[in-house]
Amino acid sequence: MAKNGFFSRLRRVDDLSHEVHVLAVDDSLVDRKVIERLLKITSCKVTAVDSGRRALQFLGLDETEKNSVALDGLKVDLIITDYCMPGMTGYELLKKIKGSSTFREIPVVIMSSENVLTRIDRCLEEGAEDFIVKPVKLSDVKRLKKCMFGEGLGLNKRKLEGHCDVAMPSPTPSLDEDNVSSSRSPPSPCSPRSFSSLPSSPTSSTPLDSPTRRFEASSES
Amino acid sequence: MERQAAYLRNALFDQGYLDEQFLQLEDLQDQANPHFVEEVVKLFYTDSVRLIQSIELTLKNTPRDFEKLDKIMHQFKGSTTSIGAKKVKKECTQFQEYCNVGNVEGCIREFQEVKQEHAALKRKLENYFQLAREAR
Repeated sequence: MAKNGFFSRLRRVDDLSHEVHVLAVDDSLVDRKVIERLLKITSCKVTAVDSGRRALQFLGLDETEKNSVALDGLKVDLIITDYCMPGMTGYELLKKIKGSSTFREIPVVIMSSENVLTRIDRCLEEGAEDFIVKPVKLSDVKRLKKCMFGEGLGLNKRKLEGHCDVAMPSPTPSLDEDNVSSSRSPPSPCSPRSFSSLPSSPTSSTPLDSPTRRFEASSES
Repeated sequence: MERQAAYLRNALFDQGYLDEQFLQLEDLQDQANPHFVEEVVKLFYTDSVRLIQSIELTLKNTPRDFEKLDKIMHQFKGSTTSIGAKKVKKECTQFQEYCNVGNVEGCIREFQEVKQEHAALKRKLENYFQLAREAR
């Protein structure tokens, strides 16, 4: 992720007239309606599509990359996608986005009804920002938005410091193996709803220092 | 009327028809979107018709395609989860278990349970929404 890309994203969010624009991808009609409402309630602009293919079309990334302008010209700030979809899975969509020079900087969040460790790992390794176990709750969306885009008004100091001290159900994030395994365990009343309880946005340091990447590194050892 | 609606609603939770996810949906309602839950439920029932028909058809074909049955049920179960349909979801899980072991009779029997719970919840929710609307 280019440093410039990160800062330009930050600047965009500082613009008070800019609403966070989320592209939601889910083949389920019911889930699309719910996620749309969840996002709108958290003051996001939403475009909901029913497949990975349509998501790529919307981004202007369909098959050939020659047209990299999004269909309606609106910049997408976040992509939230279901994992299990017919045709192109959320994982395949994630790979296509991260493989695109134009769109790889857009954070991608995966949703899945199944809390499968290998699935979570794959997604994070491929560059997913977060992994949410369905059903998605309002608290999940609020947390995501806060973590990635701050409070909305002005520069978010927390973001610059690289923290995300939103009230998390999990204990203080640290990168040792014990916490790694505990946050991966199947949902319990106190465990995080989503897999990542770590700050998801990099500081001004390089992407390699971002907590999520560091977390991956430690899990490989 | 309001009390009746509240009573019905509580009963649905107490009797295990609905779970916490339904509460989550209720929290998404506001003055601008006062019928959100009802809309989602309506959508669920409209949408689930094709899934149920699909399972029915697939169950009739021999040899049974358990993988396909599981796939369709996975979709159906996903929607039941999203609206908090606890009992229906439970039957869906049971159906998937029968699929996993290739138990045809189990699948057929269990699918009847799924449909029954699905229909029962529909009736109850329709009553509840009707009362809730009249109470306003």
